[in-house]
Amino acid sequence: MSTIGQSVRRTEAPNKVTGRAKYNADTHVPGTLWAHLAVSSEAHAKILGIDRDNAMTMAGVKAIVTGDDVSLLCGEVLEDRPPLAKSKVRYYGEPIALVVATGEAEAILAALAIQVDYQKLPVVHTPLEAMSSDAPLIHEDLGHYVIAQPPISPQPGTNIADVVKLRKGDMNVGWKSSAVSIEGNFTLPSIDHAAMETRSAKVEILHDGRVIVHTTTQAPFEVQKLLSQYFGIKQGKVIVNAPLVGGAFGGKATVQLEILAYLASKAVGGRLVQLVNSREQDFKTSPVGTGLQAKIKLGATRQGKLTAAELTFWVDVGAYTDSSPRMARAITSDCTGPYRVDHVHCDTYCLYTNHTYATAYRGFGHMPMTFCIERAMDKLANALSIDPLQLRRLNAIQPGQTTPTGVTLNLSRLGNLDACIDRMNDLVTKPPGQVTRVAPHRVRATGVSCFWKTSSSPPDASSGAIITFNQEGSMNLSTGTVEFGAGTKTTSAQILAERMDMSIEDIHVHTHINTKVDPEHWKTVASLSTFMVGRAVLDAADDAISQLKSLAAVVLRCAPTDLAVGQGRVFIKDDPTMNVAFKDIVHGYQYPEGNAIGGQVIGRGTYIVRHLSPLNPDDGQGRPGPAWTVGCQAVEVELDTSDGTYEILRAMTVVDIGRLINPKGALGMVMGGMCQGLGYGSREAVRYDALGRLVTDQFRTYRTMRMGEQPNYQVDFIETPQIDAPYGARAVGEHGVLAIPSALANALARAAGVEIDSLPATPEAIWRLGTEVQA
Amino acid sequence: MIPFSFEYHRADSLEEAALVYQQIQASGQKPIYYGGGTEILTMARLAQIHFDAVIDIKQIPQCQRLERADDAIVFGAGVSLDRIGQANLWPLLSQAGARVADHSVRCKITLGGNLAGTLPYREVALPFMLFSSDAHGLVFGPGGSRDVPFKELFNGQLNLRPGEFLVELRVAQFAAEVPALSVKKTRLDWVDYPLFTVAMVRVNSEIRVAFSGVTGCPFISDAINRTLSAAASWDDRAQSAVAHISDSVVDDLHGSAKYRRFLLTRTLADMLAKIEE
Amino acid sequence: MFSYTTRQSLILQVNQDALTVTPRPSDTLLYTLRQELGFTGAKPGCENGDCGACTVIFDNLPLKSCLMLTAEAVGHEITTVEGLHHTALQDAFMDHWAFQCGYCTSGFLTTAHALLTRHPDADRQTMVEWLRSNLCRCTGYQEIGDAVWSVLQARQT
Ligand SMILES: Cc1cc2nc3c(=O)[nH]c(=O)nc-3n(C[C@H](O)[C@H](O)[C@H](O)COP(=O)(O)OP(=O)(O)OC[C@H]3O[C@@H](n4cnc5c(N)ncnc54)[C@H](O)[C@@H]3O)c2cc1C
Ligand code: FES
Ligand code: FES
Repeated sequence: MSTIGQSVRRTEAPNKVTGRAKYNADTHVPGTLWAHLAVSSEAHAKILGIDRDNAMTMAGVKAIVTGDDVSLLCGEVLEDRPPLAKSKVRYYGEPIALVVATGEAEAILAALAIQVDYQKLPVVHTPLEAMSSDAPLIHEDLGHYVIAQPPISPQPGTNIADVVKLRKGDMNVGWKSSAVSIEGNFTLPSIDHAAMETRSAKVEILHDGRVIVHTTTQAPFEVQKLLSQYFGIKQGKVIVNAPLVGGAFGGKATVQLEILAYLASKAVGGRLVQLVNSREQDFKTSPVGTGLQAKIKLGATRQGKLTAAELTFWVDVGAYTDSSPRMARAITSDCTGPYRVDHVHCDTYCLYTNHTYATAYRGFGHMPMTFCIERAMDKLANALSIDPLQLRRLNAIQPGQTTPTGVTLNLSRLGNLDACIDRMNDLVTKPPGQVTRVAPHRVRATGVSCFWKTSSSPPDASSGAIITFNQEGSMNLSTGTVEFGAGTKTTSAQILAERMDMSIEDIHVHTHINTKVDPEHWKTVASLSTFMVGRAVLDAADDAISQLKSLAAVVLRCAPTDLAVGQGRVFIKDDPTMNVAFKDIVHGYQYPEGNAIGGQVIGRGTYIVRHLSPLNPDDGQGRPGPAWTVGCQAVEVELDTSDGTYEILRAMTVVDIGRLINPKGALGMVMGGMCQGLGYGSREAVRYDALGRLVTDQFRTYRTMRMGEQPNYQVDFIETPQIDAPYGARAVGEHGVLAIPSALANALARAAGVEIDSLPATPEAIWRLGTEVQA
Repeated sequence: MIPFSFEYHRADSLEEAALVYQQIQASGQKPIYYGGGTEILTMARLAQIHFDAVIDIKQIPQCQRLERADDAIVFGAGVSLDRIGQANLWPLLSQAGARVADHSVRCKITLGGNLAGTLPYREVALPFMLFSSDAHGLVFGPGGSRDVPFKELFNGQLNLRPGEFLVELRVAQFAAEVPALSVKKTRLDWVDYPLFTVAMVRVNSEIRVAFSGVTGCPFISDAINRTLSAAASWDDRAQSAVAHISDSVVDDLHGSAKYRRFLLTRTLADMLAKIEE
Repeated sequence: MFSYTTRQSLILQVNQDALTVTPRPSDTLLYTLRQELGFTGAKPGCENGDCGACTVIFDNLPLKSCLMLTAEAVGHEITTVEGLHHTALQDAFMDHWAFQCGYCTSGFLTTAHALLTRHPDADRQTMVEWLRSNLCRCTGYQEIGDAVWSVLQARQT
């Protein structure tokens, strides 16, 4: 029986319901030293002095490291971030000193005793403020930073870390052919990943120079690469272990605590040191998901055909760039949303502010970007008096058309947005434009939005898979993806089971990654894992199959081409009764008299993305990803118009998934994404006070959704295979979140008769907008 | 983890608790009484408070009372909000307590701890404030026990003498027999700190209201009660009541002062409508 | 009077075993369960009472073990997720895909298990009221609600 399309249980499920699943901070070796961070209490200030003398004399303290002890700048794209603040702090919560002590309590107490003398500097609160010519400079040395991974265009003497330009068609033509135009300004706060497991890292430096790392990461190979690069250690000597991860959402694709834990271990002669974020530090010290401001102008014909789009995004990267320049390119690549627009002008700025620095968050900038474009689409629908879903259907991008970056689409690359919208049209039951009164103060409305996204991975991202066999004929599968809940391990087991025509019970996957033994996978991000790892697994399976066939051909005295595999056997295609069991050949075949031939069967497989190219710096043309995933989402609300309170009744998603490999798994990923999207739309926001200090550093102030607040979910899948993907499956890990905040805002805006162009859409915000409209 | 060290003492009797408190203090150290510990432990973890010993009083039999006695209902200070809700001897108190924190935490938060805590909300005080002439508290300390009218015991915060702790609160049985309502409004979530919580009762034709979250601490005002009891429409009464709340309406992360005022007016009108039906 | 003033040994009743631990008086139950006893099914998600990942069953009630001192637990019966064996609830969580990363799962299981014991007749509203005590960042909550509800319903029919 095929396992593709079956909701097979997660491979690690039994361990997760019995408490046996081990996450990074669950394994504790006696004798481990503890590190704790002293962090900045200012958002922007000169460090005049750090007094560690008192702390140094406290019980159990082994070492205290500060920025003065380390001359290193880090950054995935631009090396602008000292691991410990040096001479100035640029955000509240920034690491200032690292205490290493015999126990956790000792480390915390000593960190509390460290005194820092600051000279406050004016604070930059928003990206638009950062753009202003008289804004305080956050990075005085911007011109001298090393570019680690081009492209990036920092503008020394300003707070502009990067500018991305995209030019398509001719704006004059675009505006001339438009009959109607609308404009919108949008402001979106940063989001926190808020994974339930906080980030942590453990590092030990052995006498032979090997560095052993255990960390909560989506990118163990990136950790290996960067530690090697930053500290001049041979890559083979850096061994990174990534056990199960307790939620990631992009927030664990960045490398931060690993560097600090390395510095801590180094300060105490290489002893094993553990650094675990408290929830407060996870919120304020480790990176957040980006916020942005945007201005969008759309032009369309009287009939509603889009003719021109002029977009500016001011991305709040916070104090340091991390992966934001790559994200700015991802936003730019898909900036029009999944619509045909022949004339596009887009500028995306990465701006330093005195906020917590940003890194990837589920959707890599597409969630806030989609919010802006989809709110603009609703404004256009209103201006044209067209049903919002119809407007989207009219403009939905088609095979044969080109993306903003000039990629010509076909059905395999794009999927079928029309089908998604049509299915949504059935699901919403009432036209989304319509507002229904259900009681004197209560109205219902539905908002819709579409999304698309491609991976925006580096053009040389690669993945590998290794298959070994147990003597009984069952298989072990090793790949480089981390299991943080997305089910990539289960999916790859299903793909292998399918190719080998074997029971999934006989496939054993490594869930704990060790960079020394597992083949590299770029990073478990961008929803690319099923695609890349799946391809590598298929390649490895084919390699194993050909080895099995060659040996079986000798045993069964036939040509390898006469053979097929299935159910743990190699058999003759036209006479399956003539066969040999895996168990008799996977570790070599032994003739009855004792001689043996062959050897262990070890399947190897690789995949490297192909035909990708970086965006051209002048016009942004290039190919950012192998394929897109498209979809349509809707949210139905019931609003109390008198006070702005509302209930989210239904949330709907139709997504072209290519091919459903694990229905319940896919459904869960999409619903989980929708739930996060509703959180961001309605309540979540990283907030700062007037001095730039983050005030949402606990779940009491950073609000996420809870049980009972979720709506009815309706999720439907369209299956348009992506031909080059394993069994046609498209990326879907991030996508549930993408257009939900905008669909919610569109629904609330219609219901309340106001323009909701910033988030979160709290009842108070809606009420305030309503009173402004009345005034 | 809690970085600093302290001692743990679990008292079996009122006397023991007060005695160990004095002994620790006499040795130059700082003791604190410990109820559910939900606030103490979270603040201790962040080193926001400091002390040398906790004295756990919640299982002292007198602190565990939850019963009707004579014409009164007795609530031990060590009883959890969850138990108060389960027993439901006073539905208004159950309601007010049922919106503090979340269910699992309410299994731990005690009546005494909620009244004595640092957070300004102290929602379980509201029902007692509405019956302050018919409610009493029993406190215990170095000087033995004291029976204190609720009015004196609590004026937004608990007034205890050094070394004293709350043993129980008592309210006249009739308090549980009048029409009553408690409404909590939050920014959006069900489990969250309040924008405000309002408890309202109707005793004959008289309306009484106590507020939490509106200004700093819980309060009750004769002027507001008179306004609300006057003969006028629900909306008018609600509006004049809120007009009485002068300047200091809370303006914070959860909501602005303006929205609080607006929402409070509506809420009061709705509550009046309900309670006078 | 029970006084626990410095690190000594205490006996805790965990998952039906009497276990000896030597915590500081200021150590939380969560800390002792994890660091001393290896019951790492109880997870720190906030150590602030907000997330519920650390929930254990304490004399049939769901309590957040980060909000309790180890010494407070002496004389009480504690069950961690490791003490649940082959329950219908665990199967339901697997069948309903009621978790992704699994970090919140122990807390939801212990809360739900306590609910099943205390209120086998719970309605949906009561179930939601109990499960609101826990946060999950991966799922849409519907899966978790459905899993628990399926067991409640099976009990109730
Ligand atoms: C997740 C979470 C959510 C929360 N949400 C809310 C909320 O919505 N609204 C709200 O008001 N609070 C909320 N809180 C805070 C909560 O109110 C306090 O933590 C709680 O009220 C304290 O009760 P406790 O019994 O745990 O007190 P403890 O922590 O034991 O003590 C608190 C204070 O009261 C003193 N004290 C305790 N008992 C007595 C006594 N009998 N006599 C004299 N003094 C005593 C203690 O010395 C201490 O100073 C929340 C807490 C958590 C963990
Ligand atoms: S760790 Fe205890 S509630 Fe979060
Ligand atoms: S499954 Fe990840 S937090 Fe719930």
